[in-house]
Order: sequence, then structure tokens, then C-alpha cells
Amino acid sequence: MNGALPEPGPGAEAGPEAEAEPQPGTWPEPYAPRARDGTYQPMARREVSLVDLLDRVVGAGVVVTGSLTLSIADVDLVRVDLRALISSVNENVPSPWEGGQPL
Amino acid sequence: MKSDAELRYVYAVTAPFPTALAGDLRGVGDTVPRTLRHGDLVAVLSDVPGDDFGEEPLRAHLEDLDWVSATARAHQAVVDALTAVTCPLPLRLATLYRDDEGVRRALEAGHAEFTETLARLDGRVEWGVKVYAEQPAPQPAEPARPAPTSGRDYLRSRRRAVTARENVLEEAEQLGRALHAALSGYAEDIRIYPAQNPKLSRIPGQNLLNAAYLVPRDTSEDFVARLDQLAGHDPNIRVELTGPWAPYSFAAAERATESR
Repeated sequence: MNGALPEPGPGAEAGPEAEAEPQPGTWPEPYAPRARDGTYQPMARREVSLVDLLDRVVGAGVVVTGSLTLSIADVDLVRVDLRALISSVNENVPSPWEGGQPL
Repeated sequence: MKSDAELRYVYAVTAPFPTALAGDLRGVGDTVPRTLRHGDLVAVLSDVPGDDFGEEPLRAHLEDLDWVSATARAHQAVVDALTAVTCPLPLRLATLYRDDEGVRRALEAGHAEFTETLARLDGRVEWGVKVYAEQPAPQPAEPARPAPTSGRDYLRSRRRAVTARENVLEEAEQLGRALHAALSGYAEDIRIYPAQNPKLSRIPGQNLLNAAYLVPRDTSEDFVARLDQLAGHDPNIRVELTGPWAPYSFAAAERATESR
């Protein structure tokens, strides 16, 4: 089912003509998620927000029973701790955009 | 001592894939990921030190936002690299086993579920879409204009500001609904996340839609084009697209039953 290499990402940043782009090598560019804020940029550079990342890496994904550490309850604790932490950061440090300056 | 305490950190489960992992790929704790095949399933994992990933140290690390952030990004980097060669079933952050044997047992025990989910997700990617209403600029460039000379002027300008804000919110809600309806047509499955709290997410604007769409790779370009078409150019409404992600939001088995 996974025999063939998947298609490279949709040519979102280069327009429809980009589909003819050749795909050299055995390891294509990682199929990097992109952030959109007017332009498409590789996520590695314009990082996806931590919240989006944690929603997926911590909040979604398969939970395999029988793994060694941290039951699901603990994972939920992680989220709570993180939220508390982020909130406390916000209390002590004025958020950078309140002066009208987006990050 | 350290080697005794090495653990297996598993990023994802996949079907066997023909390519080797990229040599410069690094996983959590700057480790080099490897594959472990068991029957017709592969676990992609790193050997990690128990000093960092054992239960107690891990618990402490998980309260350190910088550590969690770096680990989450490393986890995602591996999963992301895998999407270039196969369809990975991403596991939740910090899925650990004592040894290879433990990983094999997990693959064995979850075999039916893994293969079924992999078949369901093969050739699909996840796109994240968020819609934000931004505060319309409060027209601070007013100094050029004389200050309101009367109470009536003042009230009028206040009313304008309030109306502008309400309009933006309403328009953003409409756009969110229209987008969601249109994008759902391309999606095989949908997951709506709770709206992000700007205080926690540190992302400005009021988040009105926060959704993940499971879209076939083949039609992803149409999905993105449709989004671009609808997103419009209202500077007060921000539409954010992230992806393609590995199908994190649809990887759990219960998603399959829920969506049917």
C-alpha cells in the first residue's frame, strides 16, 4: 500500500505550474508543513506556533498501550503544566504584541 | 551504566518503506533515529538515555517549556521527514519502551489497529486552518486630525470604533463558516480544535476557527487553492494555513469510528 513514494507536496508556493518540478534523489525535501501569513514559508524557518505543535504532538497522535512511562493522565498533566507555565510567563512579562506589534 | 539505562523513544509506526532514513536526520536529544522492523510494520525510534527519558527525569523535563518545545520540534522533524517517503502513524510525544523487545511487543499487540489505521491514512495529509478576527487598527494616526472638539464628536468616533470591531467579528465568523463548509468538501475527516486562547497561544487576534482537515495528497492543491480563493483580502481577518502535517489529528483509532 505504501509501495510507491508519495507525491511531493502540492506546489502551494510556486503556483500551478510547479507540478512539473522534477523530484531528484531518494530523499526529497522533507514534506515540511508551511505557515501561511501572506506568503508560504518553510516551517523550519517561520516556525509553526508551539501551541499548534503541541496540539498535535501532545494532544493528538496515537497512544500506544504498554509503553513504559507516563500514562495518558500524565500527558494531560503536561498540558496543564504547560498552560500554567505559559500563563505565568504572560503575567510576569507583558506580551509583546499588546503594543500593537505582532511578534 | 548509561547503556543499561538506554530506552527506546518511538516516533511513529509505518509500513515498511524502501528508502533509508536520511543520514543527517536528528531526533529527540540530538539522537540518530533508526528503524525497527517487525513483520509488516516498522517502528521509527531513537535510543535515548534513561537519564533524560526515564520516568522521573522525564517528569521533571516535561515541566520545562524549553525542553518540551525542543523535544516536540525534534519529534515532529522526524515524523515530518517520514512523510516524504511513507505515511507515518505519529505516536504521541514521549512514547518509550525499555528495549527493542518491548517495541516489538507493542507492534505485535497493536498490529490490527496499526495496519487498519495506516490503510485509512495512506496518501492523506493533514492541513490546519485557523481564522482570526483582528482588532481593526484603532486609527492612532489621528494626531493629524484635531482632537474631538465636542462630546458629540467623541461619541461618534467611539461608536465608529465599536461598530468596526463588531463588523470585523461578524465578517470573520461568516468567513470561518464559509471556509469550513467549502474545505469540508475536500476532507475525508475533520477535527475541530478548541479556539486558541490568545493569552496562552501568544497569537494575537480572536481565534474563531481552529480546524484540522484530512485531505488526500492528490487533491491537496485544490484544497489550498480553494482556501486562497475564499480567504479574501480583508486585512482584519487573518486566515492561517499550516501543513501539510502528518495526519496527527486523525491517527487515533477512535477517530475512524467517530467519523463513520
